[in-house]
Amino acid sequence: MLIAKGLKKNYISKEKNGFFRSSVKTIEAVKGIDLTIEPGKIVGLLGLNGAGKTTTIKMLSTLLEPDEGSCSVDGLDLVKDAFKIKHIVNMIAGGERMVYWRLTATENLEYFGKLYNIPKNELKNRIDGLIEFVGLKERANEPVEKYSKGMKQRLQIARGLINDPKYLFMDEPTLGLDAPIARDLRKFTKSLAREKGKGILLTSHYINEIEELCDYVYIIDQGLKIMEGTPKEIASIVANCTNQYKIKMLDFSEKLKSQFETFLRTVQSDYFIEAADGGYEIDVTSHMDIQGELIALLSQHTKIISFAAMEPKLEDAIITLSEVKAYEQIHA
Amino acid sequence: MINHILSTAKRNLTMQTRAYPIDFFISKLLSCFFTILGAFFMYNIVFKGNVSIHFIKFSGTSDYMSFAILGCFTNLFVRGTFLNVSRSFITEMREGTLDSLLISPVNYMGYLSGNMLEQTMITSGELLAAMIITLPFGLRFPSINVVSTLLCISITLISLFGMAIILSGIMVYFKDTYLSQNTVFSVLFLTTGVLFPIQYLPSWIQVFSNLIPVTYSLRILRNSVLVGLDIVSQARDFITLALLSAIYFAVGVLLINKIMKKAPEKQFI
Repeated sequence: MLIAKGLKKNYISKEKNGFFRSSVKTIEAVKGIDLTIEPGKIVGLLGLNGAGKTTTIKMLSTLLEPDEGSCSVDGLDLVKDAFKIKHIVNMIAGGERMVYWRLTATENLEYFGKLYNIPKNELKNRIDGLIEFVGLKERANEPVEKYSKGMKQRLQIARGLINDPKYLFMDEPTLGLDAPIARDLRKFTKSLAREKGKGILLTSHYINEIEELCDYVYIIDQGLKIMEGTPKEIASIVANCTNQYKIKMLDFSEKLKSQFETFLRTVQSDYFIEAADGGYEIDVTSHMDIQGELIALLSQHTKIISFAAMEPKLEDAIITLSEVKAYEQIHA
Repeated sequence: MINHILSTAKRNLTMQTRAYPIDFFISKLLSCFFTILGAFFMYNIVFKGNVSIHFIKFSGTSDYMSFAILGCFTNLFVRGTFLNVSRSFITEMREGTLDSLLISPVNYMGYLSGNMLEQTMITSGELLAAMIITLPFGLRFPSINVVSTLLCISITLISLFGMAIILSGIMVYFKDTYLSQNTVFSVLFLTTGVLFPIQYLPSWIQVFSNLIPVTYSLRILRNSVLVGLDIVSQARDFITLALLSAIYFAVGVLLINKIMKKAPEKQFI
């Protein structure tokens, strides 16, 4: 089992303030994250850009040394036993990098396999199997620079599996993949966990992917964990915290405005209004489902031309959660 | 570790044969050719083929062209191995493959040794080409001592490897190749005695020259090739070269382990 407690990571950079002057700037990328990955389980790590997901993954995969906190992987210490841990973890990142473009797919996998000291025959079988799995058999002996973006990404997936890792960290692995390949990867990811007992940490921007795959989800923002739970629990939060309504109506009198604003204050919601096509268009954002109340209130005073409840997005949920967290911190 | 050395050398050779930087090769060859050509004109036109008594005293030979050609060949070899090995980690960083390398249990020394092995092979080929095009300038080996020459080349390779490890760490730390490598190569060209004996330099620069292994490599190589001195008569230079190689190597190993620990975060900042 992988257990991380209070992981922290700061980046220290120098900022030039003139030709000879510079100042040191500390960026707190991860401010204390606890998480657990059990063998055979898929854990989701969600957050906006800059939330600290990649830094967390890089710490867990031994690429970065945490400044504070501890992490044990099957009883091994992340820092002291980093060399041993490297044999049982691997990382797959989204995008086309992390493989050598001038080598063929087979040569890439051979090289990485040799870095793990995999015996020759076993390595050959593993390479054949992985190339078959990622659908590169026909072009396995062509230099990677001739591959499409999706093919390079597929090769990267094969590279991440070359050492048959016990724990796999997947940083947006389906980014840029065609739908059938992405579907196959999801299926394969599931089988890696369920059938082969691998512990997987997955970051993704696709809520469906998280819902389909993950047993447990952590949401982080600005380096801090702001929520954790099963996908069902997270999904219900998503539905509750990011309701958006787009309403078109004929009139917006002072009386309606007053009642409307009073109501929104009671439900801690915001709105934005602008004149459009001889009427008014209102955007309402609320943490609660206020569709019924809104229709009832507005229809008492004006004619509603259209009313649309927007689909809640994961990104909106995370933004809302981070805003709530910031609000709580300020008023604590 | 042997596995990592051989697989890295094989990987590099495959990449080199697939996309050999022919323009880079021509540039290196031309640079060597023009340096020798410049020395040839200076020697034959300006100095009318004469060298001073001081030159003979400092270098042990009156054959200036062979002295300069050996200097240029050594410089070409130093540039080929030292330069390319020192760039290996930062190239991985720039091409986006550093993470996949460091996430594996790669042995840094094995990886760098693999780069060194491949570069020694490639540079030896380039040196052969340079020898052919510079033959007309008159390199002569009247009394070469083969054993002494081979030992000198072997220890020089170790010293170049040590220097390359240090420069590699500096490049990763400062995320720079251009400034560091050009500064280092200009300094090496000026201070190690490529075209003239270091005794012509101001004494304070000579102190610096004596801390660079290449200075000893050049002196031993010339004494072995042009004068035919054996190992025993050059024992002092051999021991100094070996000691400096050991020091550079040890510092390099300590430095690279420390810097590579921080290398992945250097990509962010």
